[in-house]
Amino acid sequence: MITRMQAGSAAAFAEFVDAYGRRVQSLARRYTRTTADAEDLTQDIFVDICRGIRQFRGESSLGTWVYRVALNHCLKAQGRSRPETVELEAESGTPSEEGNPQRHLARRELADKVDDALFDLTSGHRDVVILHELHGLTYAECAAILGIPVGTVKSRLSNAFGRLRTRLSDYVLGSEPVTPHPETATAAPPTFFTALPERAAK
Amino acid sequence: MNLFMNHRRPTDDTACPSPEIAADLKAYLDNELSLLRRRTIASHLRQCAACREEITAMTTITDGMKSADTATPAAALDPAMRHRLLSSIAAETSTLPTARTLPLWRRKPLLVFGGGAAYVGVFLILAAVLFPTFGTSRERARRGDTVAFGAQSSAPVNGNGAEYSEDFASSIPGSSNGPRAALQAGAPPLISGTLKSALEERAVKPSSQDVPLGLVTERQVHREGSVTVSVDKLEAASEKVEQAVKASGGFVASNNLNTDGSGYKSADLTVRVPVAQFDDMFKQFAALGNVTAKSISGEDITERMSDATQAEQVLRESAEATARKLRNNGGSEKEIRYREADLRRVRIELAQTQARLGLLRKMARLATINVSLTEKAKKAAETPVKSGFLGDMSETNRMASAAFASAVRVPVVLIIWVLAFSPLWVPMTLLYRYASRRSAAGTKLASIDAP
Repeated sequence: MITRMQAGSAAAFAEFVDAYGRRVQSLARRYTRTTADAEDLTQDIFVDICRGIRQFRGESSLGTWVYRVALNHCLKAQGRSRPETVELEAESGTPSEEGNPQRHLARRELADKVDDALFDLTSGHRDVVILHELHGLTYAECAAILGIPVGTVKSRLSNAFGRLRTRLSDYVLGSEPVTPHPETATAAPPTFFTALPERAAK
Repeated sequence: MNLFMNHRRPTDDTACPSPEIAADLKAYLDNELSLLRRRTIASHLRQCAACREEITAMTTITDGMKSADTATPAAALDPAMRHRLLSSIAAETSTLPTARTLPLWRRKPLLVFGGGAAYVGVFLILAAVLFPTFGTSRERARRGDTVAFGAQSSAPVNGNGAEYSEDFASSIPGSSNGPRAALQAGAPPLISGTLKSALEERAVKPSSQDVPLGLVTERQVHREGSVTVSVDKLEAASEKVEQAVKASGGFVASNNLNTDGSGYKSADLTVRVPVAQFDDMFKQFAALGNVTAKSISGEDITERMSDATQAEQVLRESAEATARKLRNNGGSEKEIRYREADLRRVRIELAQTQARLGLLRKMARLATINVSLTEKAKKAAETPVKSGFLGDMSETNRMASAAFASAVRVPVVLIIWVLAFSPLWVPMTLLYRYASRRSAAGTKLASIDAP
């Protein structure tokens, strides 16, 4: 695929977009304010990848290279402002949640809390958490993308989780029930986890 | 009820005492530890409730983050976004130069340069295989040039004497007659075209200085050679050399026989043989054994002999004229003294010239051969080497025997040392025993005498 992309094959680029489009967009969403900004940033990232694909020498895997380019763009865009809460109308729930507004609201609330907690982390810790926890990359891949040793990735993750635990303790681990967002307060249980009886049973 | 209400953060009292373990809990959860470290953590978790709680909390946070992530990377890309990306990529690629516009050596540098190098290598190998005479012809041409150079530098009169190579000497029938005689005889079988043309040019266009050559009509060449022969029996070979030299009318100038520390003998002989016998003698010496080194050189001394002959003739005539004047014309006393001194000087120079001429004639008559005889290395008694299982067993047996002999040798050597020093320790031992007995006897007597 790389060779065909370097040769300018449209089919190869379509294949490439299918493979990495959603991942890049997801990463961009973490570093931008709105979904529209994330889409613009994703477009910029793919255009930049398209320009630089001929300079790709295969010294790392394609995925690592794509993530590295994408993360550089995201870090540049990050300085503009902190990401806002995602607009409710912009984010549609999964099909199973469409008939369950309580569950959807609980998910939204948890997403906000997680976003806030991630934002409170330092940039280095946040990058590692996003890449490893949300994108499922290994320590070695995170180290290659961020240009840091694997041991640093490990220590950053450990420290980040310590802070996340402190930051989310009131919500996830606290003794008091989490107060739902006033605007979304209903008779439903306040937390996301209590809204998932199957998860609780598990 | 909140599922995670029971997951309390460990207090200081219940916290894990091992910070190293706590630092690796996340990596343990992500399966990013080595097997040994993973087992260590697992063993620790069975005993540490605080770490188990920490693991549970981490799992909870991870699940919570993944559940809350509305933009999951694993989901499919929105079709509108996909179309947008593909459109922007298509617009971008249309502005970029296509890869095909780049030259092949930029697109595939390894293929181009590696293939080119391989092509040149294959071409050279095929050329060496298919045209094996290429190097030989070049070598022949080089040798021809060398001979031609030798011929040019050995100009009959103008040169100062030149070294002839063996090829040159052997290529001229009757080498003592020189290349010109060979040309006149019409027998240039081994002379290269370059040499032939050079000699023909000299034969057609003789210089004015060729005229005095009439004093020495034949070319005079002093030949020298050295040969190193490996022989079985050195004394016998040395004897053969001496007999052959005497039979040829020559003589042995020196004969040095040496024996080195390892018992090998060598002999260096310097023999002088008639020039006409040079080649035969050289062949005889080479036939004594295996020739390991040899060299032959020739020096044209024709010009030097001609000069010496002319100088002798001029000096003789000058001396005779001076002597005649002294006898016939008295003159003043001062003139007489002057002519006597002049006559003395001329006669001295005449004697020196005659001596030099005699030496040159001797050189032209006798060739020098340095013969180095070395005794062949005696082959050690070779033990048949067996291969395979029997060979291994034989080698093992030999090594075990050697080890046993070494082990036995140690006490034997010790016994020899003890015996060698027996004049010291035997009297001392006897003296000690005597003293001990005396002491024991004294004690016994004392106990008897005691009340």
